[in-house]
Amino acid sequence: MKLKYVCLSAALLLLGIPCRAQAPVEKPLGEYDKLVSQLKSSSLVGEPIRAGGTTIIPFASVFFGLISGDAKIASGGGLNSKTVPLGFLVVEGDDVRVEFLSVPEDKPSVVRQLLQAILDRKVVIIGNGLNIGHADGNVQDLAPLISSLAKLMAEGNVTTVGNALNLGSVKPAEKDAAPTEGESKLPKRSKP
Amino acid sequence: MAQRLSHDLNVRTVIGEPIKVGSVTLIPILMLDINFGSAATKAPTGATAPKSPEPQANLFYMSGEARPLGFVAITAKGTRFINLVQSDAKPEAK
Repeated sequence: MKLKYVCLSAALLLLGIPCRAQAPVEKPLGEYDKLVSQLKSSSLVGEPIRAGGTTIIPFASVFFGLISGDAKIASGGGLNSKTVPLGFLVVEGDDVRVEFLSVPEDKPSVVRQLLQAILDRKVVIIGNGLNIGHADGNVQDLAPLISSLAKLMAEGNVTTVGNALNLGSVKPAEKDAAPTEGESKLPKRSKP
Repeated sequence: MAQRLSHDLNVRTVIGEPIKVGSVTLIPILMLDINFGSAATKAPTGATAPKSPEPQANLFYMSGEARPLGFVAITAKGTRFINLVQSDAKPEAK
């Protein structure tokens, strides 16, 4: 009886997953079909170029990305593709050799660097998770938290803390007493 | 989706059409790497939920890479594989 119940639950779960998962994919799968149908070997390996007794066959790599999304009031999407020539084959008689092209280095983009840093777990985005700006207390109360974050930064585990240290609204530590007799109320000016 | 994958990703997808150059025949060997995913939020339920059963938001992404891994070169001297996958070290000058 228990086994029957487990099997029935599993079947319902398995039926439910595709029903929910297919809804957002139906439309973009048309794009997928188009893309895959166009990805033939001719997209990567060029037509042979004959020059005298030598034939050159270029080859390249193709990168592509597609994203689409829609909500109730808005929709959007993007398509990105890149073709990079990798090199060419040189055929001379029965002799075949390969020559590679030097691939230009990508300009480091901030987004890519940030993504890599997140993947490397070097950046911990805390955002407003630690909204200590409006926390009760003063700076001295937050000293242990700040010092622990500073320690993480020194170890290289945290390089960006975002708004975690939103200290703008924190009250400064209150001074116990008014300025002493010797102290001037105005800030001191340095002598020229 | 599974039908599409089994239809599209087969041996013919990664073995290209042979290229004949004189007495040499070159067969390209390709690599195709496709990733995709999707997500949808559930429509709200309850008394205040809209009557339309459509989900609130959908997201779909797909990315991929296609590149040649090498060529099988068939010549009168024999058959060999020409590797196009570059290691970190630069290829030796010929």
